[in-house]
Amino acid sequence: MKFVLLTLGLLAAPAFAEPTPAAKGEVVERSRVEINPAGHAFTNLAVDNPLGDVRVEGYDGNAVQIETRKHAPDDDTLDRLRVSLVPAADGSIRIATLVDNGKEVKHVSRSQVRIDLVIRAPRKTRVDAATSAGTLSIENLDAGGELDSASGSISVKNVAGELLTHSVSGPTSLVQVFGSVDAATISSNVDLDSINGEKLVASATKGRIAGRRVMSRDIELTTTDGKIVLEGEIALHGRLVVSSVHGDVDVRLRRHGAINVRARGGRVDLGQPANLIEHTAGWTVATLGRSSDPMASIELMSKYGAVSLAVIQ
Amino acid sequence: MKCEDVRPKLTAYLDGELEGDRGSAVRGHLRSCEACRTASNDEAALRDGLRALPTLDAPSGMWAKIQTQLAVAEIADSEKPSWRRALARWNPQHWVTPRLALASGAVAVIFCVWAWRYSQRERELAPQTAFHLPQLPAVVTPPAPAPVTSADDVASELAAMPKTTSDSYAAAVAELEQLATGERAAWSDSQQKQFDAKIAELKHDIATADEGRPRHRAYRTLIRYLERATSRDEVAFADTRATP
Repeated sequence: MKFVLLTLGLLAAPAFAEPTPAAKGEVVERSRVEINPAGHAFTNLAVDNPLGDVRVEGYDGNAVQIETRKHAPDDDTLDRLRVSLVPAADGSIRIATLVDNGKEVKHVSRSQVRIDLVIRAPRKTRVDAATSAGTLSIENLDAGGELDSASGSISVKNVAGELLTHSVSGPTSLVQVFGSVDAATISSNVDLDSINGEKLVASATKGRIAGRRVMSRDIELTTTDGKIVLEGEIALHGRLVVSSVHGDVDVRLRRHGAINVRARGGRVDLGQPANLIEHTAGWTVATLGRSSDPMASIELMSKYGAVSLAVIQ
Repeated sequence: MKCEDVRPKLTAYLDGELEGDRGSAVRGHLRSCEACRTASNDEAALRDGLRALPTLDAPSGMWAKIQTQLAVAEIADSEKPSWRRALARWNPQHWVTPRLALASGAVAVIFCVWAWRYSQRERELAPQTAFHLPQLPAVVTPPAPAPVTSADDVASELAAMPKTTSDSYAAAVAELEQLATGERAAWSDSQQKQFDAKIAELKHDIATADEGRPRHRAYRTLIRYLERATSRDEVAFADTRATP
């Protein structure tokens, strides 16, 4: 049987369940389960937890270890909290939390129950995770993933591979990401630190975007109301587009070759003297560096805010 | 073998539980006795009819309640004085664990239901001729358990969450569209048509996407297009911008 070990692991799960001291008026149940693949290591992990936090940590092992912590006001409600675990033969695991429904259950509000998941997975696992109001964090993984949260925060640290993050009102923090990134929020901030990949796309409709040590080859940052602050490097033949409707745009870049800059805004400051500055149709166009060098393209714009660029040679 | 010996064995015979010469003896009797053959055919038809009945799912909270009752019983048992527990060891009732008792109870209930249905069938079949297959009454499907309708329960709140998120995205779309309306004045007719066509296409994608993450993805695509159109003049300067 291919999943003998897995089954044994699941059967052993109740043995790890243990009561945990809880606050007054609250019942907490903590349990751990370890799933050992019989053949290839798990490659995909899908987590859907609308009831609390999700934390996924990569490690140098083959098993997936899941620690679950359930909080409820009483035992009856605790029994309604479920964690389903569906491993598939294709190397994927799906974990979902849910609340048992029924005609005769005692009604409780969402704020009274909680399920937090801490998962340790092989580094090469791709993570597809969704939370509602809980924190969603992943770290030390090498295959990227897609993270989705409504009002909870998203935190990523030391992750390689293609990464997509989406949030409605929870802040997003991406640190040490080595791969293409697409991060979108509606009404929260995006913080980027040490991003290095082929493409970086980030948008915040009503939030700010702050980037440090950003070295992606193709960068596109967009806000409607929030400020954009970016500090990083522009690659040879790189492309940078930073735009906002109401927010200021403040970019500080280290360049390796020449750059061609187009800027437009309520006030435009390109800092150092450029080889050539033109003003056409509201755009300020400048070239920095020798035109014989590989040329990178920069486009900065803010309809109603200030635009500034500082280039460090 | 006589009819009164065969009748009690009919169920076991039909289930293939009679071995060796016992099964052969019953089979031989059925070949020669029309009354028992009729009874055997009726029972076979009834059994097939019962098998065809739809399986009913137990209410979702039933097992949780059973577990709770078991836990309560076990706690009560553990709180008994040791001398009472020692005495209980001599009590035959103690041999039946709560789980076994529940299982036995469940089996008894199922048997009672089956027996009642069987007696009903017997009554209906009485005036009918031999070999006439009993006509099972129409199966009445019991009404499904009423869903929790209270909006304050966590299950209802969770069920409403995807829609709530969609509403947040829809509000963002409305604001961005309002912003784009101000930009349109600077666009040519063809650019406006291009913009409108794209918006219509993306809204169609939203309308046809399933509620939840697929619809949220469709909303985000529209939001990103609107953000680019408003903050970067994507529409107005699309033809002047170099392709990366």
